[in-house]
Amino acid sequence: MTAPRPLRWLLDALSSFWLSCTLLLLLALLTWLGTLEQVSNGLFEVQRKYFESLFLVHRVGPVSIPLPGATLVMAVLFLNLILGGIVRIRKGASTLGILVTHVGILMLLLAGWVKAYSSEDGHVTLFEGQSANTFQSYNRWELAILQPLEDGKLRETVAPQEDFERLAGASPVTLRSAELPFTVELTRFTPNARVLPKGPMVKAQLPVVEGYFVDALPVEKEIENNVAAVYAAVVEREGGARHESILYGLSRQPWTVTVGGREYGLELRREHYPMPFTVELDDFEKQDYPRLDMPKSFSSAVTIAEAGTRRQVTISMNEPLRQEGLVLYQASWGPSNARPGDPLFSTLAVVRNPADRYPLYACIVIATGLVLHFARRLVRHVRSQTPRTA
Amino acid sequence: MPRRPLRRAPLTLAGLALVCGLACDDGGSRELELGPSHEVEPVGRTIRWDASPAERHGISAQDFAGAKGASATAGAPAPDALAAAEQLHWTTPPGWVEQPPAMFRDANFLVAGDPSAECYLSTFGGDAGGLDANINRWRGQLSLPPLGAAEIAELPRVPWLGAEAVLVDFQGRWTGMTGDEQAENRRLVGLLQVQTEHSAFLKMIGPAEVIDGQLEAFRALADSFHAGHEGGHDALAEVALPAAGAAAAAAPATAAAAGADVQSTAALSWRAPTGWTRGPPKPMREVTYFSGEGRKVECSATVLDGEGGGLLANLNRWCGQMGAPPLADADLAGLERVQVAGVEGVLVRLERGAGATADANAERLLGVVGRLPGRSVFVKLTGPRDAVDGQRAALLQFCDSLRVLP
Repeated sequence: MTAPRPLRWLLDALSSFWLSCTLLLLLALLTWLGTLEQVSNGLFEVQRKYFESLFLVHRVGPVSIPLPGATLVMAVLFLNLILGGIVRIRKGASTLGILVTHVGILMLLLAGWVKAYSSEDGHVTLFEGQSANTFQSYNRWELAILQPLEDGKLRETVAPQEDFERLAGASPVTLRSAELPFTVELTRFTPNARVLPKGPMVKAQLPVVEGYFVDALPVEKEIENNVAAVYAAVVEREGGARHESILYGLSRQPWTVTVGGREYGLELRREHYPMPFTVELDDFEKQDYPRLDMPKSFSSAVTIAEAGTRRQVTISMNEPLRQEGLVLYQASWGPSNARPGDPLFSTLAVVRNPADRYPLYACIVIATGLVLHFARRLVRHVRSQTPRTA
Repeated sequence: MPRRPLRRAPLTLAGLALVCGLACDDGGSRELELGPSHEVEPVGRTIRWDASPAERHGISAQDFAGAKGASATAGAPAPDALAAAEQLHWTTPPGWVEQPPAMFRDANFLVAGDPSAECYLSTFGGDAGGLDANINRWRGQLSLPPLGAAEIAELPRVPWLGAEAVLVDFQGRWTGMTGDEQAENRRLVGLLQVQTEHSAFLKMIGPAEVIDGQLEAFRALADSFHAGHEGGHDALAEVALPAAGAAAAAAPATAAAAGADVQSTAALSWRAPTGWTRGPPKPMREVTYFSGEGRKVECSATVLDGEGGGLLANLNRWCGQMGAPPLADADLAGLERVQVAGVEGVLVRLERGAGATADANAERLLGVVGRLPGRSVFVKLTGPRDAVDGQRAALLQFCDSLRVLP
């Protein structure tokens, strides 16, 4: 029994070698265009437009060119490899290496997919002696409502950026929780702003609260440089009393309100991700080239505290720490204009990626497949060149 | 062409409405349920539950002063920009009304009690973006064109808070901090003391008819500021404040003491050595100076990102210009070390040889390279042999004074 003609045509098209070539060329094109556009629009925006999209429009002067996004291209490539490179490929000793190689490429695509949709990226920045049990996003914001508990801990209720990022005007979003004796109204989310005092000679475009107002700034192309602000109001459930303030991404302390005799703190902060351990920076070491102030290497000696145990680890540029599904890399240090003797901070990039090791395994599989294939070709070639002796 | 185009119209309109609705959705009034709470241990953090708005927002003082936006490493603890003001004391002029300190305003007054005129002192850690940028920011607020470096260098200097400050007096149409206000005939009198470590600004702004009568009070207030750790305070000395109504010219009456003023561009600040004359801008260079007899010695400073192509490559580029044999890696270790832009850099001395491409006047080259995190500074001094040697001390002083701005 054969498949109906349209289905067969579709299967032929999806498994064709020509489709593979087209998709690979499209990937190369998207990479090239994205790299060029990164100069003007920044890495985050380019990733979103070219690599995390199904479709996009690339503009060349006045001309708009519709293109498939890398997500769509890789999804079709995945299907193409399964159909053409696994299912429909002629099975036999001669194609064993190719088959294995295709499996490796599929693993690579799968790793990218897992990374894109289930990983968390951020950083921990510490001066010597400081410690942290969370890492924070480079670019995403969240509203955190903090409530101090008697044992010194905090009870946190968090609203993700999606809840308020489209608040351009005065129309509020109201956040409520059965656990809180108040609702929170957020208005005028500004993705990049500074908070200024309102003096007699200062005219504010946005409302003045507690003597301050939000001054909107152009959005930076490097999205991690933006500092957001939002107007917040706490409305008590009982009595309806209203408290207002400005939440700013660089504020050092939360805005505190007292409701029902209890204190609550509200803050706009980079999205926090918990770590199952505490990392404490014991010593940050920067080695310069001899007699020059040029960094040769830098590393962080840290203590990892977890469930009552402590162990010392050194994280350096090419030696990350892998612990509990997290990978901590030595990313950078600062302040960049520090003078000799100034305290330095160390920034550790933290990644939670379930597919962290997939690329390694995929490369091993691909290498195995290629060795199998070319070894067989080599043996055949050698045999064909050897004169037969009766 | 469809035979009955209107048949699909309702569907099309519904689709368009949906698309428009989605596109125009500004996230208007919504109610959302928060997720469940969770307990966390606040490791490495001390929360103050009584922080004032000024204490909460204080970090953006750097932005206000014209510095660049927040760093990418925003999670890093920031220096307390207001620390410098902790020990300041002053005497409020009679008739003035002292206001509570606010962010960026360590001392805050209504001039002569007039709500349309104010005076305030702002202090910052660092150079707050530099002298030129702050002067021209103030001029921009008054709709005045920016001053060039040479004009700024000629503004009067006065001793204030234990160091030298620039006195400005401008008059124009006030457009406000955010550029959207309109108030004619406003006068601004201010003092700017910009140093690498700390900066202080005293600014009096208001209707010219009000400010005209408050110059003595401004002087008295400025005189009264003193920092405890400085052991006293400086009077505004003999430099007279401009007369009432004389501000519009904004012309300096007294030339700056040569060699003492901090100058800057967007990337670099420095102190010009005595006797050096600033040259016109040139591509790639932050600044060019001429010195020596006949102004035959030329010195330029350049800032490049990263390593600027590499230390050895740049030194050998200079070797090529001078027709000198190229250096090898091993030669780097033997180069003299000097202070440049706050770091230890290398100094190379090259003599003109066969095949030189540099100007015929360049018989000798002294070059200094300093590598900072993420930036490199290149200073080149060329000219007749003896004249170059005569400017070596000035070159080292110039290099030492350089600071790369963030």
